[in-house]
Amino acid sequence: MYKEQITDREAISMLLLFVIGSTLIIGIGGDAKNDAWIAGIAGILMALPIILVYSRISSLFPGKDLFDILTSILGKVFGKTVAVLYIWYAFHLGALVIRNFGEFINTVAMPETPMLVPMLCLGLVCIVAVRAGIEVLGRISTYLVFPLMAIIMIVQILAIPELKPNYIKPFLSQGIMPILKGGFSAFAFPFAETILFIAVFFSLKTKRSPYKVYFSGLSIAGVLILLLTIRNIMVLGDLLGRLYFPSHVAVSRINIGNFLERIEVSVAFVFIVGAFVKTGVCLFAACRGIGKVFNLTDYKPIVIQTGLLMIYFSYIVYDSIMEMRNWAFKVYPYYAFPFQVILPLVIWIAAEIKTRKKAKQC
Amino acid sequence: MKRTRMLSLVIMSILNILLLAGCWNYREVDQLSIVAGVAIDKGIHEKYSLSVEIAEISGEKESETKSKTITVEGKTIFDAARNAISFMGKKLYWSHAKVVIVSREVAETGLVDILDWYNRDAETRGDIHILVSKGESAKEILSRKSTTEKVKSFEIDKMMENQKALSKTSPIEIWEITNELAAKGVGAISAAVDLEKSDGEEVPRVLGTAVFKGNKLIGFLDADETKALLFIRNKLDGGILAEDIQMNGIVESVSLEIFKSKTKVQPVVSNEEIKMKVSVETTVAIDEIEGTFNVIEDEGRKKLEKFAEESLKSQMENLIKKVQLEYGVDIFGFGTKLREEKPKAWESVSSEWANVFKDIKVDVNVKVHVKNSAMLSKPLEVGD
Amino acid sequence: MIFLVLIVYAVLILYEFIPLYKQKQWPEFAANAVLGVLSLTVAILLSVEVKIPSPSKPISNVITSVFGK
Repeated sequence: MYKEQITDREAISMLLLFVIGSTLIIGIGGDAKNDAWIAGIAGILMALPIILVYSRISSLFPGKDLFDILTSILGKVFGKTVAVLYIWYAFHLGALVIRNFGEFINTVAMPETPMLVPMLCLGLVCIVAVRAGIEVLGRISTYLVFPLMAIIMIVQILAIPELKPNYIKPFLSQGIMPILKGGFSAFAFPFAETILFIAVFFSLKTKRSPYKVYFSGLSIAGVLILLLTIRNIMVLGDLLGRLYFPSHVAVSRINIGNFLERIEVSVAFVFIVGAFVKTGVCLFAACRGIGKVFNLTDYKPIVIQTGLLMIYFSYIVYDSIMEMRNWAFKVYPYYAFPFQVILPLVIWIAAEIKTRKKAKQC
Repeated sequence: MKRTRMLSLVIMSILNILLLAGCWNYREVDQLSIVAGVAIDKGIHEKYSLSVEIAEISGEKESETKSKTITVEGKTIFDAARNAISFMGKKLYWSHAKVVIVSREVAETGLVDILDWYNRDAETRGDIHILVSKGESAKEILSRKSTTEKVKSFEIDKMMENQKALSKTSPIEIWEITNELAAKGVGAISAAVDLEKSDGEEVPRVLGTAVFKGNKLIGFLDADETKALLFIRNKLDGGILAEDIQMNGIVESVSLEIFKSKTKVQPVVSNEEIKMKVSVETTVAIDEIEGTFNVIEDEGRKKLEKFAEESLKSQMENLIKKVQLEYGVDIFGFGTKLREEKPKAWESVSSEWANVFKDIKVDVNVKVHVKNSAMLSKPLEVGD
Repeated sequence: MIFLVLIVYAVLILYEFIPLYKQKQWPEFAANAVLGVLSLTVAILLSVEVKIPSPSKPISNVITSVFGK
């Protein structure tokens, strides 16, 4: 089987799109109200140490993916059990992203279209992309990341007349607890979701790359998310915590001379691209994991069926958008905590011990 | 291999044909009735009566816009909006609506029902103007003949947009008033509209401000009070100050055009007592002198500035006093300023802000700066 | 609806399983068959509008009972 390889740049673009993907549209730190941006900073700060762990794990085993690492350090049985957990996580996360997309389209643009239709459209594209391989996903990301950044920046500049700086005051009015809570929720969604990238970075070229990719991708994404959060606060004020899709409403306020208006479709575009990359990475990780657990030589034949299952699953995963919102902010951070923090820490410690032993033996 | 390629090609083509050619719920323009504006009254049989102005675009050689008004009733706003189907067969399309006019009666019972639907529904947009009708009926206003535009709602929208140069009402958009209702320490206001006689015909005129307590209408401010309110809220972009100036026992009028105005509201907290400091800085130009006073030369100009400052100051102070005594609602946003600048002091009074506001001391400082006198450097002279 | 699902899956079998069968990639074939049967079942259930319980409800119940609201 021929070896897939992606460049650092492709990996950074992929990570960037992965992180901003669904966050852009749902927003972060809703509970902290006008301190949501501080919650964002808190989230990034919380994410930094764990990112260090992820990159360390990834760079200790160059050329191996998450599931190889699991079996090689935790043994066959236990390793495969953990691998199944991660497959479930990737599968579930992908389904959640598809669902976000479906709810967004359903609420904002096409309330009468059955939700399965937009979700199928997104899911099928992801299946095609993943079947073509991670390289294709990487290359698409590099092509899309610059237009996307340009759109975000232009919209950001256009929004300047709508900003009301006094909405952001007073700082820390609700006390520190909502900020920590919002920060934790921002940590779990989206920053620490990048755990799945360990399953992708086997294809990076050098040993040092994971650090570079994780940190540059995450810092750019963090800055973008912060900027967008500050913009949303300044445009929407008190309304922020009440909206399902704050960015969409914030951008719809832009009106330059009665001429440049109704550009909220730009938000939808950015979201579609982000959701595509995010779902693609999740699907890739899930398929790769299934392939490894069943000792397949290639993961590609199972992409279609896994992808279809993911779409169906996303269709049944929530009853309503209220449930989705509750899940995203209240339940998800705790649910994802073992996958994002506990298991990686265990893997990291085991990996350090294992490599030390190996070094001694030599 | 060849066969699978062919097969996938066929599937792709079929998918493309199916997916690219059509949409799920596609709607042609001729299937929709484009709503230009809506007036909400109390219904006779049901709770609400919606009068919807529909812009009709008929285009053969030259496209022409006409408007029609229909009235439907319903238990809720959305119910009424959908009931329109049973009158005209087409679904109303809300994205292009420009104004919402609420009748006095409905506003007195509460705005939340209307605002909620407007903010919630995906087709309606939050950035349209809301007005309260001073007269009994809101429908009357939409059904009057329009003068400059073909569609009355668009005309009212223009009136609101161009208030920048007049400042006699306070234009406010749905999302803004929603925010103000939700925010602590500020009372909501909206523009007011009334029918007025002009050339023997009653036409709508936007003038003054509606004041809300909670989400219920409690009164109106007139045009001059509105201007003072806009000054305090730092929402003033233009307008005219018509000042009477007294010199040597004679009174003459001077019109000053406001070019720039900036207001700073600063809460001062000392010994548990909260005071508000309002400082206004306005740049104006002399645009009309009704008489022969020399208000352009240094001495006269100083005097004019002084007069303008005094009269503005007293207008604002009177307004604040009136609002404190009559309405007891903080429509100036003093509470918000306090919350933003001095969160601790706000904490201690936030629960009883309405009472604190009633006897809060406000210190008004006005500075008027005359920057030019338009095209003429001297007043006209009247020879014998 | 159900016929559409069956047709789509028939096409998928032609497209996926036959090449795997010809190349004698048995592990892939088996894994794919398991997943395929699973997804076909779910698809048929969805198309006849059977309500499938979602795992998010129990997960969220467990988490709210542990950490509180």
